[in-house]
Amino acid sequence: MEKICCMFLDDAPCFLVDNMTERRRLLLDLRRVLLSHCFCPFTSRAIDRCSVTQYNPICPMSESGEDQESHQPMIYPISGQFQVVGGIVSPVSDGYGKQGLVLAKHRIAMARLALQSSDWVSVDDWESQQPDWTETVVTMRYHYGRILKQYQEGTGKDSGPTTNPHHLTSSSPRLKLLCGADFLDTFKVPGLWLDDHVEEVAGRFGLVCVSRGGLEPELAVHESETLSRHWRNIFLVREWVRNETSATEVRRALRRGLSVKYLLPDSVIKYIHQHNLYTGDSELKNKDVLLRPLTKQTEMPVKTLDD
Amino acid sequence: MEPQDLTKVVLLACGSFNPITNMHLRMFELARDYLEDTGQYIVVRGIISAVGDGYKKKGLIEACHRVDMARLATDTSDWIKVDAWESQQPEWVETAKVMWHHYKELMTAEQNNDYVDTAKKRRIEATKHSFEDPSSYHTRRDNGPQLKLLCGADVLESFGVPNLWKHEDIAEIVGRYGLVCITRNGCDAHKFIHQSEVLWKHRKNIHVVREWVTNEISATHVRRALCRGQTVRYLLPDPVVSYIREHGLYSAESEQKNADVVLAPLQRHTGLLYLRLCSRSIYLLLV
Repeated sequence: MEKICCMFLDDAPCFLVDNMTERRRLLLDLRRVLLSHCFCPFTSRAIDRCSVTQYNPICPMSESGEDQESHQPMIYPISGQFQVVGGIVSPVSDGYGKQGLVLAKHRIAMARLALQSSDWVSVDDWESQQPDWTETVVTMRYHYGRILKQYQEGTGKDSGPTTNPHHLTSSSPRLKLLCGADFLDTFKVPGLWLDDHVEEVAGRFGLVCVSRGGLEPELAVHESETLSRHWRNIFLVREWVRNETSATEVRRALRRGLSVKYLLPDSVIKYIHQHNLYTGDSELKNKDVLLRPLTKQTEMPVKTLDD
Repeated sequence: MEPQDLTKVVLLACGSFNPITNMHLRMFELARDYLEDTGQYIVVRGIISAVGDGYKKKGLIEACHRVDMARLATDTSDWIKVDAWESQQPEWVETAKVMWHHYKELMTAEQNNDYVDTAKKRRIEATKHSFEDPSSYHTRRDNGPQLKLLCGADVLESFGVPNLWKHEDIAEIVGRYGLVCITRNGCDAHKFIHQSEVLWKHRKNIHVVREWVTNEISATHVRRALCRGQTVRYLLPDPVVSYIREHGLYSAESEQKNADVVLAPLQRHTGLLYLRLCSRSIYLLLV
């Protein structure tokens, strides 16, 4: 059974990142969805075919394709293939340059508060500590190396060079990027992603993508050569309870002095008030600044892994 | 406006709360922000009133659990409280009667708190006798808090379902008290009000509050997830999630409770139409 350590990239308090769009997801919702729809931590669970069509995730299965429908090539039942062993929230560094981004130290503190009661998701500040914005693949490589090393030390196994995926045994953990449906559309934005990076994220690692509003992640996968080539590595999770609390809305409510209780954990709300975060001024930060990925990747693209 | 010029409001939410969810709690926060933003009101209290077991809704678990969960959920709120009166009544109580009960309590409390302003006290005494006549629509009292029913758009639209509400009850709720309706779709709500004579007459008493963040955490969905052994974390407050787990609530079995029983309001009114109220939609089955 494959072990998965899902990873969240994050650039706002307790929210998932999507590189270009304004919208965010509450971390909390996605973790819940992940647990309920896709994986059950520490136990495996077979999800039968009836429930797949109703609300379970649309997941590719590498073996039989007898459930394949012509218009939805990626519907397959998932049958106890995975065990989720951890979740990582990785807030982006201040160098990202996104409008309204408050200091990383606050975003880290808030994420920690929100995750205090979670027994499987933790916050990692490595990315936020880097002097410049870090490409997604670089962050993923870092975490994957770390996880693998921990696993090897824990089991005493040596599965070869950490960067070579082909030496991995089927029981060593995998790292997957967890994101919202709008994130998949960011791959199309010119200058935001390097093709090789998309290849690595989808091919080497894999994506777990949660539906959002009326967006159709299947379409985004279908329209991308790279993504559709790696369909086996892309898990689409349908969240039937639409809960579109976005960080943008939360920040808007805070600016206007409106209540955000029951949208965020109380401890995070308290922190926000104590530090007077999210004001009219904070939203103007980075207003005329170009997003760092757009400038950095043209200057000095990060090398791919075949070196 | 000076604080003393603001109209005090108490928001009352009636419902199954089977179980209470973050969506229910958000409704209170949204309603308070909206009313206070008008500059005319100050919301002084929120009341959660869970329906009694006599309602006979399918899947309705015991009132004592539903009240306990609501109490856990509102533990961290300094203005939302749970009232168990309705849940303790042996038979189902119409919403208008529940409102009347709470209205009387508010007036009594207001009277007892007022020691200084004797002129005000005399005014209260003078109108005291009219407490016995809930059907008279005397003018709104300026010296006591206003009680308003807090609900979602589904409740507003349920006013249109035959035999579910008594016409005079609807008139009393919107005429005497007022409604604060939280909805994603403001247009539909306004249209519904526009198309109803009684609602249109009292439209100034109906506040439609837009919910900009789509939040469809329905108790039905929560129960479904629980029956399937799935997590509902972050849909309900953590203490409620723990309570459900500790007491083993919400199973396939509990969902079958009252499966063949007619909903109390319909039993009471006529038996011609069966109705199953879901949180967001209404199914009509003709007998």
